[in-house]
Amino acid sequence: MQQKTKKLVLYVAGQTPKSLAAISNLRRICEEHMPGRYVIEVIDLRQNPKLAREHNIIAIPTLVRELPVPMRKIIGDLSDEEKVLVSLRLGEE
Amino acid sequence: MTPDALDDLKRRLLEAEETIRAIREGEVDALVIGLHDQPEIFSIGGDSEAFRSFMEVMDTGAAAVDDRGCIIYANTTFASAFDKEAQALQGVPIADMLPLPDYDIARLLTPDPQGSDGIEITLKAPSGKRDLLLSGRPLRLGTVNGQAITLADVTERVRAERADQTERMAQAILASANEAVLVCDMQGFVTHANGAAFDLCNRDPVGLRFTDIVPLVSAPDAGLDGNADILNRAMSGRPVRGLEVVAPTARGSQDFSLSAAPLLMAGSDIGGCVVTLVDMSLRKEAERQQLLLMHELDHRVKNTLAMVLAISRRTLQTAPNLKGFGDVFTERVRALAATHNLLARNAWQGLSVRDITVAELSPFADLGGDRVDLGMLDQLITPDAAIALGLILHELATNAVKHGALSGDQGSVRVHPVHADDGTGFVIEWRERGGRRVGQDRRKGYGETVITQGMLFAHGGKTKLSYDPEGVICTIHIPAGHLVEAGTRLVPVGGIVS
Repeated sequence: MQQKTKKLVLYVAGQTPKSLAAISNLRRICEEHMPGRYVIEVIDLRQNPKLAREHNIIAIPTLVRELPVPMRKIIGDLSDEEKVLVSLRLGEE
Repeated sequence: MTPDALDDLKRRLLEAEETIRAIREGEVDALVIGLHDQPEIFSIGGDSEAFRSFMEVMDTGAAAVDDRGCIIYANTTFASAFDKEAQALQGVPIADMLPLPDYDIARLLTPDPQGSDGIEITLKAPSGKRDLLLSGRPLRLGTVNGQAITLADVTERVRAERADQTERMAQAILASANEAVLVCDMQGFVTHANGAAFDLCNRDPVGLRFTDIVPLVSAPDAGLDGNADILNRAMSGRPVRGLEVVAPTARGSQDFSLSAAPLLMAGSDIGGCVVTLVDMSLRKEAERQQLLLMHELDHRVKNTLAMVLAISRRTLQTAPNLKGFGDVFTERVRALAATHNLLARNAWQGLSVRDITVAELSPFADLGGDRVDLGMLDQLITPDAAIALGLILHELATNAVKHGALSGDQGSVRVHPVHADDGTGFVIEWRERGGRRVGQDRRKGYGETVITQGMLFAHGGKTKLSYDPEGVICTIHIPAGHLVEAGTRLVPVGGIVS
């Protein structure tokens, strides 16, 4: 069965160490576990803080899985690969 | 409250708890604060933007890595050392970028407050080979404990050190060479010279024109007319090899074998030439000595053949029969051979009168007994005089055995030096005693001719033979020109070298 494309939104705050780490970790995990089946949107809240409202973001970095529903969130720099896979069920759905 | 509203409330509560936990455990480094219509971003642990801006304007390459060794941020200088864009390095493990063993990577990432020692690496980037010096120090960036890696491009310094080392090595090689070595620039000025070249020129040739330091003359058929021609040919890329030259103004040796080769610089460009001059004086001297020896050999063979012919002719005149001729001729040639043997053993460098006397008398008498008395006969004489003296003594000994002091049981022979009448040369006296009486009435044969005329070959040489009733007395005068002082070396065909 063809797996659905996942849409991931990563909220960062400019180039803080955790933000940079989250970006690189997310790209690595996606490429390893679902190559060609993901879309990442990186939103820099330092550029536009009001965008935090859409997903009610408080802590940065935060990753939001918009699709498939239901929406899921994970907070942190995504350095714990197992936690990312389990929390967002990236490898299963 | 509806079940859906309750579920939503539970989800929000879980999110709130997760957010608090993440903040408490340092998993975030920024927060969204403020009212919903005016939210602001607050950085936990300080704003790292200023720090990053500062890093960006540094000339030194710098990168911040997290506690896993992955690059958080690298400035442009750091990234360009690897021919990369700075952004492309984010998240890349530093160990993947550096050609270093695990041990050195660990040293670089060790959180030592003093920082790690510098580690040198050489990168083969598309833009060329680069020598880099890396060092690491602990760094806290926001909520992250990591390591600051700095990188200094030491390519030019390493290149300068290598060039300096190469220059020192070249100087050492130059100084160690036995032959004279001169390096000239394209204008013909000497830029380097070793000690042998200093000696050759009798001054420091560096800074002088090669054409002015010491004129070099080669054979006309060599096709090179002097120093300028030699340089021009080498600098045009055509080496000169083994050209025999004479340096008339050189101190010491003047015969040299010259080689000149273009000095190849980077890219095979010619930057001057290298001239080497090998001292040929020893080889030339050996060649001269060999030529002299060949002439001397020719001279001696001719002399010996002439002497053998003369002995044969005169022996034939006096021999009573063929057997008598055979016996006497053989003895005389043996006497000649005995002296030749002595000379050959002494490399034709002269013999002492004693050596010759012993060689000629030993076949006829016991030299350790009381019938032969030899005086101080240690005077050295030339080979020609030695041959003549050998023949004379042979005839005297033969006569003494046949007719004189050694013919019976009582007689004796005394050979001693005596004072010369004219005060020059070396005179020995052969005096027989106690033998049969001899008289001048007996037929004068070849033997007496040899005795009386043998030394006449030399100017001032003479022999006097008298028949005393007590026995034969013979004085042999060897002229001063045929005496050799101890420690001198004879050169062939009569010359003497001190």
